[in-house]
Amino acid sequence: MTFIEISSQTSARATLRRQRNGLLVVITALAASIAIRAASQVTVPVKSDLGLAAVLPSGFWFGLVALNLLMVIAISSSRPSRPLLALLLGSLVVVLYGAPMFSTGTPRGEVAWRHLGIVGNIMSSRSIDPTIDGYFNWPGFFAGLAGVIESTGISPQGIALVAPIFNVLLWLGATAVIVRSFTSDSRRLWLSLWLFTLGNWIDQDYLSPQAFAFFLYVALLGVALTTLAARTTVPFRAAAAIDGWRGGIRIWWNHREPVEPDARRRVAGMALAVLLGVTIVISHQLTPFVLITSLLMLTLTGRIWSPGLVVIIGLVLVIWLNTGASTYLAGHPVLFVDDPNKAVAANLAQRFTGSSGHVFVVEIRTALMALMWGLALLGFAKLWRQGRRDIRPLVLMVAPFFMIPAQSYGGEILLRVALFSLPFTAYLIASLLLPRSGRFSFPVSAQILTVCLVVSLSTVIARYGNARFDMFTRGEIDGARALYRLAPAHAVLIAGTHPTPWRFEDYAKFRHITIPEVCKEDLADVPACFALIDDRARRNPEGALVMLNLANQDSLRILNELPSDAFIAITDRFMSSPDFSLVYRNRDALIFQFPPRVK
Amino acid sequence: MNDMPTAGAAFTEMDRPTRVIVEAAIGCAIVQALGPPLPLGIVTSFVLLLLAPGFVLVRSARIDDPVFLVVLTVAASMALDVLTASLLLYLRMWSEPRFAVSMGLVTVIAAALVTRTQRHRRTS
Repeated sequence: MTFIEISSQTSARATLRRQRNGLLVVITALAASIAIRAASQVTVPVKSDLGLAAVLPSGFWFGLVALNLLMVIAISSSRPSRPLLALLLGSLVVVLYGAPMFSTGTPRGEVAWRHLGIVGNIMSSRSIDPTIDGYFNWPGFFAGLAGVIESTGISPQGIALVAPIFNVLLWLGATAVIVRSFTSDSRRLWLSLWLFTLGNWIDQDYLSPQAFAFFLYVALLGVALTTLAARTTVPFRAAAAIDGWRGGIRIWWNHREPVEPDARRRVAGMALAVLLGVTIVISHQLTPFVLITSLLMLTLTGRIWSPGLVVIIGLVLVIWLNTGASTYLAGHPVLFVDDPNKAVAANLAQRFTGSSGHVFVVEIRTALMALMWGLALLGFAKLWRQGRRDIRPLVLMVAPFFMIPAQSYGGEILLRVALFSLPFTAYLIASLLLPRSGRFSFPVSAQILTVCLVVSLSTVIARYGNARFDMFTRGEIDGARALYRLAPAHAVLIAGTHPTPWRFEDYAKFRHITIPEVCKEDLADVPACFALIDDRARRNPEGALVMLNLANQDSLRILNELPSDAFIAITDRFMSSPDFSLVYRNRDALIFQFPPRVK
Repeated sequence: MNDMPTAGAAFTEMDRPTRVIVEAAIGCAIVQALGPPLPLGIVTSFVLLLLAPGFVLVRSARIDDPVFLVVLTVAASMALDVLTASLLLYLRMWSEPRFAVSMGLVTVIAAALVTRTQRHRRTS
């Protein structure tokens, strides 16, 4: 074969590849638009205990399956096209994380609304009052958000609406840095990012301090694994064989060397890591502890050149807990050893209660977590067998688990652990699925597609499983707006239960409480519960307003806290009570007022 | 003290990308302080809050990987936003123009510090 023949063959192949990639770009855009269009057709309230998955039209599922298929085709190419993969990943993020936004046009979940109230309080008071509640003891994120809202002039609700997409894109960028520190294989990088996006069912990417702190956490680990990384030149076993355990540790430790040879870059990296660490410490309660655990484990395994980093961040944390967060900590220990039985009950057992649809969603969540961690462990074993004995991904995947005995975090610690371990879980699963090198065989492609489809389906069920009560209707939001319009200052505001889209206005002006918090064990006893609410309203000189909405009714029923007929009975009690008067009603919300005392 | 360059000297010693970013940050801080209309406000806020302060710091780490550069620039910028805004709020000195000017100042100070450190290293 002559040089000209080889050259023309290469050129023909390049043209073919370009045409193929062009076609894949068009199909990607088409699949994403079909999915988005289908998601926008969903109406709220979502009428299924299985959540959004049960009501999403077939177009959404078609789009999601097509995107997964296109990803497998793109990644199995001998030279994967980066722009195509980036487009695919971006489309997946918009489809998966934007689905509720396209259907309702309002932020999902109570907490996102509450966070708008906190930032609103900071913007109006132009100061931070740590006596209000715990959020004001870790105010960094809200202070920065106040700056963004005031500088850009974008509506806070608009920011909350797009926050999941924005946050996940930031997380993906930071995760890419981490994965590139483990491997130079671009396929593994893209598949890791894909699996990260698919596997993030944990739903912590809304407008929140934890989403912001998680981005900084992953970015900081990126610095720790690159600019500040170290490698050991003498294996510990060999060192221990020379001088016993104690001497071996010394030899092993002294034979570490920095991966980055330029000391100036290391100093700059250290300064950046400290900057990010300080910001994490003042922004979120839990993340600094996970960060310190992860850095400590990297230090103890000899993978960070400067052990000082963990010491500095630890000191900053101690200083913050004794200054900025001291008001809150006076009555609430931030880190404590829970009763293990209580922690297990809060994180697992109590979650498996509720309607059959809800229990199914919880089972899917648990199975998905177990599946992903199981596949990740197999991925680590595969790498180990292949001689790629890099323990960092496993160490960082396992590090967040040390939080479990220390803090139940309101029964959410397992969810947080799943999020903190996700970048590493995704990388290890990608390593399990991908061949070491060379072209893809059909079985490999089929395996990857199967895992991606199973995780996609499970994530939509798991992530949006509470959609019946956390995707609010226009009526519920209008009701909450009316609540603040009608309430006299310092009135007690009582909602049916969580979630309720409230606290987004006048955050510190009212006392907010829910009916289950008032009634406690008397919740199901309608007359007793009503008497307690009546008493609570009577004791406040400014009176009380009670808001009952559709989401409250569904939440209480789905979580097995109160049957629907009991909720209706309570509503009837308010209707017929001479003390409470109905001051607002729409299709989805009712507001009753207990008037303020006459002065 | 002879080692300490004047602000003007530090500015001329900056490399070109840093100088451009510092100039952009100063311009955006001025525009922000004047209260720009919405589309312009978004652009100037983007430069001032997500790009400029982090970029001048990250330059000192001389990162070659473009993804890493972008991620660290955004992360460091956000961190500086948070620290500056928190400080202003704790000192009860918060106002939008003051925040914008402070972010411009943070960018200039960070650039001067980085330039000075690099100069010091070159001479030593």
